Amino acid sequence: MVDEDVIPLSSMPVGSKGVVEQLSGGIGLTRRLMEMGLTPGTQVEIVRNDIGPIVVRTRGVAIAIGRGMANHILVRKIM
Amino acid sequence: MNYLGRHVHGRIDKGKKNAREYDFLVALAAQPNAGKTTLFNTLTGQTGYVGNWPGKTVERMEGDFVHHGKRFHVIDLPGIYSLSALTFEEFVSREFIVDERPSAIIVLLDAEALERSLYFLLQVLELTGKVVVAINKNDIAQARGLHINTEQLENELGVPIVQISALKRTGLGELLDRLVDVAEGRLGREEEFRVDYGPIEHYIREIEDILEKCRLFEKYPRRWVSLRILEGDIYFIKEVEEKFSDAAKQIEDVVKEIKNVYKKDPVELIILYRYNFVNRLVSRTTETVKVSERKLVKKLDDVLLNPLTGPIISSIMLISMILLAFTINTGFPLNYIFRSIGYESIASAIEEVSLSGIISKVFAMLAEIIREGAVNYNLQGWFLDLIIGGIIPGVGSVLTFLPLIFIVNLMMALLEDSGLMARIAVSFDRLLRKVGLTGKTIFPLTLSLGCNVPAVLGTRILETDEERLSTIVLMPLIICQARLFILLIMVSALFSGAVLQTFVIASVYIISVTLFLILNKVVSKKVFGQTSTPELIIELPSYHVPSFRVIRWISWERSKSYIVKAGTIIFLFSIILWTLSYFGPYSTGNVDESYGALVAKAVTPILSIIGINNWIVPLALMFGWIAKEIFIETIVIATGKINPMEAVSSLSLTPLQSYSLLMLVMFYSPCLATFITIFNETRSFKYTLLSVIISLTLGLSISATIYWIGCIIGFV
Repeated sequence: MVDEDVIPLSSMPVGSKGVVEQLSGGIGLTRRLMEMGLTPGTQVEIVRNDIGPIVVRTRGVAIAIGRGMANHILVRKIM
Repeated sequence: MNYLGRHVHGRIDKGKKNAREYDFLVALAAQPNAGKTTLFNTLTGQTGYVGNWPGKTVERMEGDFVHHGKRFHVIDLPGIYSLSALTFEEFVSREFIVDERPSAIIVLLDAEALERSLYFLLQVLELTGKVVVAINKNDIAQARGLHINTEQLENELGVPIVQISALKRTGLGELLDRLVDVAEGRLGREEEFRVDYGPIEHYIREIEDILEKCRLFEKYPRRWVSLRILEGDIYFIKEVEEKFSDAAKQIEDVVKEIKNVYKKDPVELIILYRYNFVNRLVSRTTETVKVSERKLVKKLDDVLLNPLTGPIISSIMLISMILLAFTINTGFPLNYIFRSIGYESIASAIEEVSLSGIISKVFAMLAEIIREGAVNYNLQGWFLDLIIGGIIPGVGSVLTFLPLIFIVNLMMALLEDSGLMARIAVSFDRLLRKVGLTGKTIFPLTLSLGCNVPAVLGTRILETDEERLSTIVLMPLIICQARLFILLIMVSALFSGAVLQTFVIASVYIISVTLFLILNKVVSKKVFGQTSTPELIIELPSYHVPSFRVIRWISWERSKSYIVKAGTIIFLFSIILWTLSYFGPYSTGNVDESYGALVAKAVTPILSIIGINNWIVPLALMFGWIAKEIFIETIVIATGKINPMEAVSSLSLTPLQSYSLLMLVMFYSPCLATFITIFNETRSFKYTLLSVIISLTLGLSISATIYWIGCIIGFV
């Protein structure tokens, strides 16, 4: 099943919104991010996405996430 | 996560109990950025002090206060995101709650990050019901349109909840009233809170049954331990494995079944259900009114997080910080600028009012007073010399560290409290990622230019043990302010011409940073087993005007706690080295014939690798180990000159020898204070020794290489 609306967080344009589908890339980092509120089903808004860390806003908090990790977070785009 | 191996079996000992008596022991718990230090300082005032959790260098604040005649002793738990034992901070927090059984725990919530705060609160409530909740920064959240129905939230959770502002000191009276109520058992939950974990509930009960049969972990609530085990808590799982291999196998089967059925790690399901509970709680107890976005914050972030302007502005902030710290501490570089444009008197005035200037003046005066007193009473002998030449300068050299450490602590606290720190880390992450470090490393590296000691302490902000240890071990390669002084004096004395001087100074810094970056790649992988580049995950808290009262307090307490710990050892070594420079086999009070000089003369042949055969150089290197600036002082004393430049010139070194020696002085070893701090922070003699060996090997090989290449291509 190919779902074109589900893309890595790192490919999301600034200002767009999405819902977290899945986190992979090491249980330690996944767990830390989930505990900071980035759980599957949570809405995220992309604040910055240029080079370097990606900044997202979720549950009222802004979090900077290293690009390597952001590649491992899958998001369903909502528009 | 390798700290767990070291701590799993050792119980956390009781911390240093205050000598004063108290009626109730209470704990303060919160996530990072909630305003915990501010609340702590507001509650305990001047009684608060900073120490460490036993066994590891995690900061621990303690203090006392009285409310309605009841005396409270409060322990501040580390700022953590959860109570799982992923980090040592989380581990000590929950062990403290279970072992010390505080009469009440104040859980501080951040109204600006309400959902995440409630997630943390649930974890505490699952462990104990003796909780009073304080919601901080509610005024800010309200201005943004969030309204919390406190009574409703109280009904849902069963513990008292108070809205406060730690900064403006509002709501504190009520908070303390409720604290007394919980401590005396009138309020709070009888039983731990139960979150409904839906489909995995029956797995939790299975684990509970297994644990009940083994009679394991009886001091913890059984449901709570079962959840922890499902979350993959190494601490608990290891103990089951060691004591009951059958039970461990059964637990493994339960975990496997969950993974098979739900295609997810149980820990993800647990976090998810806990957050789902939070979502429902928030929708029942809060109302959000849409308010317009705050323009200023957005503009600031646009500039600070921009890939071009971010690093530039961040660099300017860090550089001005470190220059300001330098100037307040020693007058440099302001004195240098004034001197170079011909205002000698202004330059010396700046030096005199600088903190180090004042401290050294006070100690010189003290020595003079004692000397005069001794003449009046006709006293003399080695004991008098010990006081004047050993003890007073020894105490002095401990105290001269204080201003620099205090100033850099102050500036770091300022950056942290204002919210700028996280933005700077993001800015530098782009650059530092390329060399295998996270953006947070920029802070210890910047501090290091001032002094390696606070830099080593500053590595505590780094996420992984591997990154932290590697940075600590290599920290002495960064040129600190004390070495900058040696560099300036030697360059002025031994090299002529502005172009050559600039080249020499720049080359030292370039070599220093290059070595650090290259070796970090090697050391983090080969020695500390880092497998992949660490990833930055950092919250960008709202900007705040920092509270100077709190910043001043915490910086002072941190500096004091360091000085007490390291000061005694620095003092001791000062006395030992004084003894070596004073006593000799044939005479006393004569440096040339002292034991120290004998040792120096014995090792002088080693320095033939850079063509130097003057015993004063190894003597200066030896004494310079206590504090690098003593290198120059020793040369001054041993050559019998007054002016440092003359003293260095009188060694009559060729330019090539000078450059080689310079490299050796810069890199040969961490100074004593850094050495002690590396040991304190790593708790490992092996890593401390590794740091010394790396420095010494590099110092000798770089200087020798430069010398021999120079000789071969015909320099002298």
